[in-house]
This record gives sequence, C-alpha cells and structure tokens, in this order.
Amino acid sequence: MRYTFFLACLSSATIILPLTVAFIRAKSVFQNQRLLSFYLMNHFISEVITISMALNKMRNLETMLFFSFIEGILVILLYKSVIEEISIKRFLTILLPFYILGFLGVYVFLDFKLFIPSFTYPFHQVVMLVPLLLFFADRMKRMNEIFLSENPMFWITCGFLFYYSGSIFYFALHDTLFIDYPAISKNGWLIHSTMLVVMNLFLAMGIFKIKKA
Amino acid sequence: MSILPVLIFGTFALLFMAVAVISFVMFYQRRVIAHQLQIQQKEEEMQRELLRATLKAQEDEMQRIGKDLHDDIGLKLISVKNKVIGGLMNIKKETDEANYLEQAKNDLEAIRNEIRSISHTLYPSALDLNGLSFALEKICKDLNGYEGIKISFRLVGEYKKEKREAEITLYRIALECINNAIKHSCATEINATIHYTAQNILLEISDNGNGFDASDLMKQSGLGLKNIQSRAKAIGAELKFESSKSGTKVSIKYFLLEQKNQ
Repeated sequence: MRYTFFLACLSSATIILPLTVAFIRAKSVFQNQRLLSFYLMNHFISEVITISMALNKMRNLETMLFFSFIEGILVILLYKSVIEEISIKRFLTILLPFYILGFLGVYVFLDFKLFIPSFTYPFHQVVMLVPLLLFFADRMKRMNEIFLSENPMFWITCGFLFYYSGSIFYFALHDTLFIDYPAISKNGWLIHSTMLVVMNLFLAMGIFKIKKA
Repeated sequence: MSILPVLIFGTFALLFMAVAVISFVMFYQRRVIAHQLQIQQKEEEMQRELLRATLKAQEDEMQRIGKDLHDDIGLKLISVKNKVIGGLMNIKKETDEANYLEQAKNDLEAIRNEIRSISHTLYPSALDLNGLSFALEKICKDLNGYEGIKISFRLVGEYKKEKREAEITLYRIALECINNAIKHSCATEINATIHYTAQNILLEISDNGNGFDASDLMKQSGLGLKNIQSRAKAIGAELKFESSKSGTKVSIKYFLLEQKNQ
C-alpha cells in the first residue's frame, strides 16, 4: 500500500512540470491560455487535495470525481475554442450538456450506491476521447497551415489521448481490482501513474511550444 | 481467468490505437504537404515557362527591330550619304552649300553609327556568330573608356557553346549590370568575368563604385534589378548581389547539369 501511495504521489508531482513551463511562458501568445491554465490549476489542486485526504486516511473517491467532472468540462471548452470547423464546434456544443447530464446521471443512477464508482470514470474517460479525436479531424482539414509538431495543441492532445485511452481499462476494472484482486490493483495503479506522467510530459512539451509574446 | 492480462492487453490495445491515430494524422499531413509542394513546384515551373515565353517574344521583337535598323535604315542612310557625297563632288569647295553638305554628311555618319550601335544592342550578332564569351569581350572593349571608366573582361576556363536562350539571357544580364554600374555606381573600374566549369557557368560583374542597398532598390520600380532577377529566374540561374561602400559584385550561376537533365 505504501508503494502504491508513493507512486501516486510521484506521478501526481509531475504536474509541477507543465505548471512550471506555463509559469515561464506566462507572457506567451495563446488564445486558449486561460482555459489551459484553469485545467492545470484544477489538476494541481485535485492532486494536492486527494493526496492530503489519502494521507489523513479519508475517502477521496468522490472528491476525485468532482475534480474529474470539472476537468471534463474544461477539456470540452478548451477544444471548443481550439477547433475551427463549425460543424465540429456544434458537435462539441452538444457534447458539453451531454457530458454534464451523462456524468451526473451515471453517478446518481449507477454509482451512487456502490462502494467504488465503476461507471462514472469510464464514462468520463470515453467522452474525453471524443474532443481529442475531433481535434485531429479538424486538423486534417487544415493540414497546410502549420506543422503538427509546431502546434502546441497537438502535443497537449497527444498527452490527453495517451492518458485517457491508457487508463480506460484501469478505471473500468477499478472496483473489481480493488475488491477482488487487491494485489493486482497495484499494477493497475502503476499503469495509471505511468499514463499520468506521460500526459504531464506531453502537456509540458505543448506549453513549451507556445510562442513567446 | 486472471484479470491482469485483460487489464494489460486492454490498456495496450487502446494505447496502440492512440499511437495509430497520431501516426495516421502525422503521415497524412506529410502527404498533404508533399502534395502541396509538388503543386507549388509545378506552378513555379509554369511561371518560369511563361516568363521564358515572354522574354523570348521580347527578344525576338528586339532582334527584328535590330535587324531592320541595321539592314533597312542603315542601308538607306548609306544611300543618302552617298548622294550627299555625290552632291559634294559637283559643287565648289569652301562655299556655303559645300559646308552645309559636309555638315549633313557628318551628321548622317553619326546617325548611322548611332543606329548601328542600337541595332547591335538589340541584336547582338556577335553572340550568334562567335558565342557569349566573344560577345561579352566585344561589348567590354567597345564600352571601355566610356565616361572615363576602365572596363575589362576575363574568361576563365574553356568556352563552350550553350543554348541560345541561356547565352542571350546571360549577355543581357551582363549588359544590364554594366549599364547600372556606369549609370549609378560612380565606379572608375568595371570587371566582367566568366568562368566555365563542367557543372556551371559563373558570370561575375564587379565594380569599385559606391555600392547600393539591394533590398531598398528592389522595392523601387524601373531599376533594372527586377529585370535581372526575372531573367535569371527564367533560365533557372542563381543570382547573388554583394554590395559595400567599396563596390558591388553581381554573380549569376547557370547550372549546366540541371539544364541537361530537364
């Protein structure tokens, strides 16, 4: 248990990396800077609070869910502002209330009575993949404008994509692992932590690519 | 069945899909960019062809006017001059009439020389008969001493005849550069050098004048630099301007191998 906790702390601490890069690049030109900052702050605060709760042996699953809900809204809003294609933008406008209602609905009707939320997280992870894939679809229509590797959002999207796709299975099997296979749960947590580190590295790279003012 | 393989396999499968999506998008962009580059190259080639055709039409017209001036008007002037000479023979010398005719004969001779010079500029027959190197040497010799400027020519390597289009373009560029140096540089010395190698022809026109700022001049119109640039572009030559307070050097590199491959 101590090993898992140490791993969680370590992987969570990597959020400092994109935050530091964002701080250095504070005077940069990026249209979605505010949303991205909110996302990073939300991420950071959620890590600090949930780890503190865990340290005090308090149940933090609902708190994590709350921050994930905020994170989901921020991600959809971020991509809504980044994507240029009007039809895709409209789709994201519909996705936002769908996500809010879906998230609350799944939690209230399916997870509320469970000891460990088993449906809300996978729902969140799967919905998060939608704006990411839509971003790539939008970029494919504007391939000649900028090299993908020079686009900060490309790196940020890759980070999100690795994290959300890589941790779907872990969250889908979360309750089974936790209750029936506590020994294997450690391996699941290792996968999640690795994905988190990868995402933070990509986020840092993306923020680093934002041009200076 | 243990849950661990399911977890690992599922996670890796989804990660693989994520990598596949990213790779596909990157590969697609590479293809789009390559395709656009190809279109851009084709457009550039078309523009170059158009420029070539325009310059060729211009060259043909200049050649026609040059020939007409030389063969038609030149001959007519000789005929008028001969008539004046005939008139001079039939009247007494040292009279007012004789002086007028003498003056008219000299003026006709000057006009004929002027027209000859213009026709040679319009139609450099030396270029067709003896090639670029000879034509450049001739023009340098003819202009040497003009306005007190020393104009020299140097051939490096062995002269090889090239396509007329390339030779006439290089000749016109050299002429434009010499003309610019005479008009604007306040130079006392102009050197034209042509280097022949197996790979390229390098034409260099340098002077010891007061130099210029090429970027400033390019913004203005009517100064032969744009003309030089478009001519160089038409034959796919590389153009380089080097200018300082101690003089200007214009280098035009025409690639032989590239032209043969086209």
